[in-house]
Amino acid sequence: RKAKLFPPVPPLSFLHSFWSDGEQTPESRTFHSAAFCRPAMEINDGEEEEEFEFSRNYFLAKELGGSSKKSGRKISDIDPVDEQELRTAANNLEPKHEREVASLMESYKASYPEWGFMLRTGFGLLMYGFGSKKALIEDFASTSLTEYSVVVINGYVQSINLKQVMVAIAEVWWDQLKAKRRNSPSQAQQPFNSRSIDDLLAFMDGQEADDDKSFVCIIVNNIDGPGLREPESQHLLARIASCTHIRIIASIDHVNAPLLWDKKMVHTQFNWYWYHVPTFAPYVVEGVFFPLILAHSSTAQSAKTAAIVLQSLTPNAQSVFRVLAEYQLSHPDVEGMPIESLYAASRERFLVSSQVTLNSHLTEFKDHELVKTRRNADGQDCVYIPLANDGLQKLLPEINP
Amino acid sequence: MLATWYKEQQNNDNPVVIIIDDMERCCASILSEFIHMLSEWVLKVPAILIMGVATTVDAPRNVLPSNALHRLHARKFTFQSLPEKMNYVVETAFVKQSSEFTISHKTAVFMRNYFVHQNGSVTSFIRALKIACAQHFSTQPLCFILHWFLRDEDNEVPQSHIYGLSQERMLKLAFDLPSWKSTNNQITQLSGETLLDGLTQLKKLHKTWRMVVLCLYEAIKGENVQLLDLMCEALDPKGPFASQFDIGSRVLPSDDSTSQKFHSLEKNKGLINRAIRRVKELPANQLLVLMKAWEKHTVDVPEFHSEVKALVLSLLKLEENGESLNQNKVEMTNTRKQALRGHLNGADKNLRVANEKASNLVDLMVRRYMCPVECVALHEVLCFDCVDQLQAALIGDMRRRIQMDLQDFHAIIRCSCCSKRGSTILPSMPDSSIMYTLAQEHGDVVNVHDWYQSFKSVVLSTHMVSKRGKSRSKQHSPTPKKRKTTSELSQPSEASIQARFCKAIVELQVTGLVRMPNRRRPDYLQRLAFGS
Repeated sequence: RKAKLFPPVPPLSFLHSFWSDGEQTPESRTFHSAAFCRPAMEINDGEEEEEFEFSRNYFLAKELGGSSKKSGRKISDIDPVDEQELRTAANNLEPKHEREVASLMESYKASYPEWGFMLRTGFGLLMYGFGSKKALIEDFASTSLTEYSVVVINGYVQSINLKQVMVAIAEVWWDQLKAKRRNSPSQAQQPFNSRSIDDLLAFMDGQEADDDKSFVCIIVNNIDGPGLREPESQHLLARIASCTHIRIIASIDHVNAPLLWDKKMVHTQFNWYWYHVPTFAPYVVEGVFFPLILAHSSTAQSAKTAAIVLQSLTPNAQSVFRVLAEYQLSHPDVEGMPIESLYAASRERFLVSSQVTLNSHLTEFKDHELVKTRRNADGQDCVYIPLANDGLQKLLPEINP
Repeated sequence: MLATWYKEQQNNDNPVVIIIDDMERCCASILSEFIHMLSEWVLKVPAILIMGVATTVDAPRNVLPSNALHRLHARKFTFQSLPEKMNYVVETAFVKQSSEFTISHKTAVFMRNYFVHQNGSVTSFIRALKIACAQHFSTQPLCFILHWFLRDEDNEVPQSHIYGLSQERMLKLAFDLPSWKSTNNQITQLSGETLLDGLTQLKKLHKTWRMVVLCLYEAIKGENVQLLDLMCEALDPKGPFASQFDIGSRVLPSDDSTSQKFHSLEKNKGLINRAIRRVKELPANQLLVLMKAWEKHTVDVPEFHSEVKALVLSLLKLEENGESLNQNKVEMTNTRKQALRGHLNGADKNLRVANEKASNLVDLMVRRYMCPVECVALHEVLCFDCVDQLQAALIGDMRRRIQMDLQDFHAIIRCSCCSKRGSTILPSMPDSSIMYTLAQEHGDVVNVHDWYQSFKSVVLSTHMVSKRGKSRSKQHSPTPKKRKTTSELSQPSEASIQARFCKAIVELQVTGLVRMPNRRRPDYLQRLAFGS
């Protein structure tokens, strides 16, 4: 139902008569609801419904999370494969819907002229939608923006030095100016590296080529990326984008990306024109800096680190460790190997000559957190390796016998 | 620093103007020192300080110490209020005789709501207007006719070849427009002259519409009314005032048949009705002012112009009589007073007549000449109507859209393998979509293990599907036999399922829909978005 222009709230006497009639005509219904709604404005009820839906889902989810019994399963219960194998498998994954994704990218080519037009008009293009838009934007730039210089900033890397970026942009713009003018300019140019940020901005905003429609186009892949999320970075990008000879095309992926900008940045500096271009292309480069959730499970990690540490120890130390590991595997229910037993076993195999040597090995293991000590029921000091049995089993082959 | 300024000062005649954007953001002590320095150098470097104040007028008193304040000779300047600015913008862009470009009723309502509910700044309104223009120029091939309108070459058919369009193509595009087709079914001879007639009529009707809106606006200017609201009412092709402009007729209906219809309309609603009523009730001096303003606006429409002029003259006469009567009021005998009263009653009667005439005039204007542009043939040439496109460009609802992309991916990808899924999760869906849909079943925190197991079962259900239904696989792929054998052989390995699971989680992280486990909850992922 759409609410039309509301009349002003009627006097109470009218409402009384409305109720007593018992008959609801459309006009009287709106009169009634007028008392509770925003006056004199046409409200799009559809929009309000959606907003309520969103907040309702939030509360439902919180409630569901709190009320249901939390599953106590751990990540290690998944039994994740070895990290190397995981990464190999990840690199060899076949993408789904390859054909459809390719035809989707092709279909966007029809919009390239419109994008170019909006860019030349002065808008900043903001591409959003699920899927990596890097290839799409770069294809657009290489086909439709050939007469302009383009600088690409990859926002998905961990840190970006925007000052260097500005120097690069200024140099590109300078080259473009020189190319247009043909004769070398009269003023001696201070190298861009040594100029301040304000100087660079003033240069890019300069009045030199006003009749000329040329500009430098800046492509920012993932303007919401980790390297650019700081407010200072965004403000600086906004100032760059507001220069007369700069145009900007950016892509965003994070749902909260719009929070990066205030009104002035959106409407005046960046002047964003939103384009919804879902590509469903995989996030290859954007996801490089994110850890794989199953690759860093504790067991795998500890076993791996343990193996690395052990390989740096002396062969005798490694053999002592092996003795301990074998004992632990064969006696799973015991708190650990009593130190006397360990000493006896090690001595038998000529791994240690005295208690002191064994103690030094044990201290080294403890320092590297390879073993821990506790007391068993008999009051003896025991050592044990704080790894699960499967981890231990994977570890053993790594140690030289 | 000031010394270098002094040396660099090229033009000693002009004072230096220093602009401080936002005074409250400055550090007070530094600002006061700065003012101090400026005042010491003021003889050598005359300076004018312009400071922007975001809060109240006495903010400088609160921010600056008194010795700094003493050195300032302050003058206050206030900008126009927001409603005034809006009115000015709307008047210039749509109502005054500047350009023919206009927007449809739906677009106007959207822009008004956008201004009121989302972003109450004039800058954003102007930006929305710019986007509407840009979209119109990039999508409507006949938009060059706007340029033709501006050049005032009304007696010549538009020369489309200048703009890169053949004459034939232009005619075809024009006569294929929905507004033309619905209004001019009978006309069979489609030539340049027909087009010229149509465009001339369009221009004329649009001009008279603008005149009427301006006049109405003049009538209710003093009542704190937004021109944009008035314009929305006037643009409505389905509104009470537009019903007489049947889209099927180019000839406007006569007075008799529509007057009754008009009077039966709800008289109490809307700004236009308010304007009409006001004209009826205005006192003499205000009516005169209004008629003088109307005289200016109606210059191009002779039949109104003459009537308005006549009204102005009669009101002027009324005013003169009134003044002379008032002058004589003082020295009077009783008999004269009676005569005076008689004169005054006569003056009142004349005023009422004038009011009545003005009201009839405005009735006539609204009924006969306030034709919304959407009721005229060929209006698509100058009227922008793609509200959805405008809204999409202005407001990107990231949160909702990304989740919709994941949920309703099929509308975008249009693959055959996922076409008939209904609410089930098919293994052929993109991994991120599978993961996102599965996550909806959990609360705000998702156990990684459980999520993985659900994902695995969905992925492995390919194997089950192909074994079960030959017919189903026949629908999906052209080589069912091959598919069956390959699917039996290529059940995904544990490593690849885990890899897909990890990658999908990375993608959901990139979009900000989930957060990685922390130390407190190492086996749980947190959901950050809860669907639409």
